[in-house]
Amino acid sequence: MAHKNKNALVQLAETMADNKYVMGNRLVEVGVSGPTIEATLSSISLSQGELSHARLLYRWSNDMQGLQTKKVKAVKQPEKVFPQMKEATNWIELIVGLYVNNVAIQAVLREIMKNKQQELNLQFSKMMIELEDHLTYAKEWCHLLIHDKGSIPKKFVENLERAVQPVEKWLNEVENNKELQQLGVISQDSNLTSLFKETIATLPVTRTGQRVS
Amino acid sequence: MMSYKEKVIEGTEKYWNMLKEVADPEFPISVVDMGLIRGIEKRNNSLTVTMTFTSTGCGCMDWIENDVRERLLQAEEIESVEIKVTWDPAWTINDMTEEGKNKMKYWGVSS
Repeated sequence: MAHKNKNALVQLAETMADNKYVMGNRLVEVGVSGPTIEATLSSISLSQGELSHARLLYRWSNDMQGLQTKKVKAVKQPEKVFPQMKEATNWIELIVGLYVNNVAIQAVLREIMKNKQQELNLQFSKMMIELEDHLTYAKEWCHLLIHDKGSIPKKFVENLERAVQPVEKWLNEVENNKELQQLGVISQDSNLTSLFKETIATLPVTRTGQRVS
Repeated sequence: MMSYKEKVIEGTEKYWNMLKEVADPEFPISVVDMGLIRGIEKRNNSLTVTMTFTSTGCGCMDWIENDVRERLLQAEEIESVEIKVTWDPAWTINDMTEEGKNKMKYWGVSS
């Protein structure tokens, strides 16, 4: 890709990278106190994956800006981060953030790769497989939390609704971004927000916070 | 799945054999048997190694790259080694050689 007129795409790459960077951080900080030893170990492993995805996305951003760096280091605090994960302090908030953020990132990356497959396969095809694994894990935990006892299902739904709003807003901005459309990375009929909503709606909860049996 | 011997370009056999001596840091098998090496090209006194890793979060990437580079630089005629990392096609167990799979089975790791 040429380096000019890539500002919107650089911003997009950095938003995804920043969120993955923070997910990697929170999966360790919060995940170390997971509900079971298996959950904690999985969380640490997922953290390693999220941080490596962040590195691949930062490298892509650097390449687009013509920055020749072999090693990608975080030199600043990530800025473009969705609040759910940034503020996660317990396992429910962590799992909701992991699932919601990655559903959105997967939708965007699939759209970009559909349009720029040849350019990006070398960098991202392994990451896309790993991303699917992370989503499977997070979704399984969503189901466990939804079907748990006491106040957990209600807290889960409250967190889900809080997490979804800023992500939906971001996806809406991405799918309507003229610069991204002109670059040919996002189609005019990408329907990212609809795809995101449909996927989130597969969780067995209602919008009023009740569990669907 | 292509066997690693089918990937060997004429004149690079020696370097593939050298890499059979470079062990994966986590398992007692070589990076070749692990299926991490996708290709070796030689141009004058330089080698370009195309390789992959088992996951994007592999914590041993630098370690393995350094081991590969150092081993190949032991060849008298080689002055530089460039390593290119590719993630496509993604590594799977099918990338391993039969020898590698048998060694893993011996160590109690198999699918």
